[in-house]
Amino acid sequence: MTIADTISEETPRAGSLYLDSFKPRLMDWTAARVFAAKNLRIAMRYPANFIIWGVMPLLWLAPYMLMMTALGGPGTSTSFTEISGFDNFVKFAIIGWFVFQYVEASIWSVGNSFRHEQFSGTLEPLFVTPVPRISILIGAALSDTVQTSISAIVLLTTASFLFGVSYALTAIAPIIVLLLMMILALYGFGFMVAGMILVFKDPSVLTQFVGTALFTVSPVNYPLQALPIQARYVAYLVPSTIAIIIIRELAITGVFEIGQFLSAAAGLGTTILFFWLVGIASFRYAERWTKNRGSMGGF
Amino acid sequence: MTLTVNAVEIENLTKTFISIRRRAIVIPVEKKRVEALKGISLDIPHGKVFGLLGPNGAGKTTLVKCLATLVLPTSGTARINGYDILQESTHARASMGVCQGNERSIYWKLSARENMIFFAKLYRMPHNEAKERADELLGRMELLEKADEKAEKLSHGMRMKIVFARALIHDPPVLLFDEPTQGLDPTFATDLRKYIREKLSDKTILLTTHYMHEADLLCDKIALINEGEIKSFDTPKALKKAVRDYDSLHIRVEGKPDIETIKKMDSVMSAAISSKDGHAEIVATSHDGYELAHRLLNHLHELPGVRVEHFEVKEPTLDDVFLQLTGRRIED
Repeated sequence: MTIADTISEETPRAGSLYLDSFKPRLMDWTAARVFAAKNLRIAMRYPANFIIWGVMPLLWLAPYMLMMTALGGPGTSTSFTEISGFDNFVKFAIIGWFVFQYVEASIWSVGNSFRHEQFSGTLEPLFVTPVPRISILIGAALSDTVQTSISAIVLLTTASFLFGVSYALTAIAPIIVLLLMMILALYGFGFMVAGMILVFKDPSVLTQFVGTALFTVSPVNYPLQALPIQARYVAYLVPSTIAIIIIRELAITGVFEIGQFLSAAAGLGTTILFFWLVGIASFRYAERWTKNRGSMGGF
Repeated sequence: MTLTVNAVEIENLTKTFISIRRRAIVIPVEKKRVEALKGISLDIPHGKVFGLLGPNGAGKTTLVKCLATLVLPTSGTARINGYDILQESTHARASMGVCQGNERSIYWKLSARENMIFFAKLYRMPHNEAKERADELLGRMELLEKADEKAEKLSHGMRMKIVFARALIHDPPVLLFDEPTQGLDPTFATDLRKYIREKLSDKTILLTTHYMHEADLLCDKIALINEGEIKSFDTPKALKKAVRDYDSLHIRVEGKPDIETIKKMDSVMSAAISSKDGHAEIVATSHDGYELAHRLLNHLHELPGVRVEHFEVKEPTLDDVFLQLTGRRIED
């Protein structure tokens, strides 16, 4: 006689209004929104975040601007104009930094959020709720995009004012579309990073390396043509490169060319598909790996 | 069609953890296998409180984590409210509330109410309903006055009450409580036990603990678990009946006598020792505790460096049942 035989007394399955109507969802948008709102609320309760949003990006950007001005004179340089096709390198760099704020945040935001949940001991309670993982991943990404938007807009406004530059607003709609597509594509990469956080807990060496390499090959401060030819191929593999180049051109010239826009959008669309498939598959694998080893809540 | 099921059904569940030590990150040099669960099978009918009693490392938390879908079993399966934890894990998660004895598992920067509402919404509760439910539970936990204070400003006991209340937020039929009163001060622990006994009588509860009196007080049935195996299970009364004919002798000494010598003494059924800061506590069971006490005290008296500080012959407890079955004390 087994233990089960001895104490089994079968009765109907317990139900409730919630359980009777419960159906698993592939994506729970409410949960994603609730998770994002929770992250934002917590972020606002750390006063130091206001310094990060408002001041830090400007402090990172300023030394580059000052060095450029010292080398090329105020605003321009013949060599720069020949290579890039633009006549004002300050204007060129500020918009590059604006876009790169989103690049960096979109890659690390989901992973950082998971790391925070690990440290605060809330990852396991989250994972025992019936919320699809993708909702938690997207919620984490959304909250960080909101924070980055505050930071990037403050940077763009302050830097434009300080360095006396302005941008064309005539092509604002395609800029927003391309920016959103780039952010979406990078979310996929972020899901992969979140998976790595589940497995390695603190993959700081790897993430630092990827982050620095990405910054190096992205045409944020310099025109892509300044890169050695081999490195230029690598730069084109990064989804943000094409977005930075096109957004910069739209913001500086204000000229919208449908062909150029559509080819950029198609490239980014392909990247979204690729990174989301790889990102979600990697995260699922990482979750399974972690559950097999029983290390979900560890840090 | 409504299925007929037990609230929790576990079938031959095993979990083996394999850790590989590597040299230069990639070269495996040592493979270590730990069998945390060795074929656990049990069914818990609706509305019963089932206790898992065992020392640290016995497999209690691994079993709870497998049921909570946080750990994948190596083989076997389990169903929560009729839902398979592997095939229908989302439904299973919706059917259960989990409370792990960890005050850090809530957001310290959010208030008690905000924590509760956040988790309620993850269970698809609309905002007003979530707020009402949060207030209802915080009220029951006598935390309503502190509902708007950030968790970081609350005491350990209060935070644990939030963790506990969170498990009830969606009114699940099955509750998994993993050491819910661990580290709580006695008053808070008593409050929680009272709440479980009086207010959760319609729930099916799997409770892990290493507090014998807690299991004794709350559980309809208890499984004694050690090294991943269930050694015995029954009602607390029946388990203790098994050792009713024995006395439990507790001796506290300065120094550390050899337990193996004591185990070999005539009429000793089982014996264990735990020592701390130069003092030791010996627990031995025998048919006649007073007769054994006489001989054992004489034996200890003759040992150099050992001084008896206190001795007592007690009625058998669940710890004595465990000692009898495993040679180990629950609180080891």
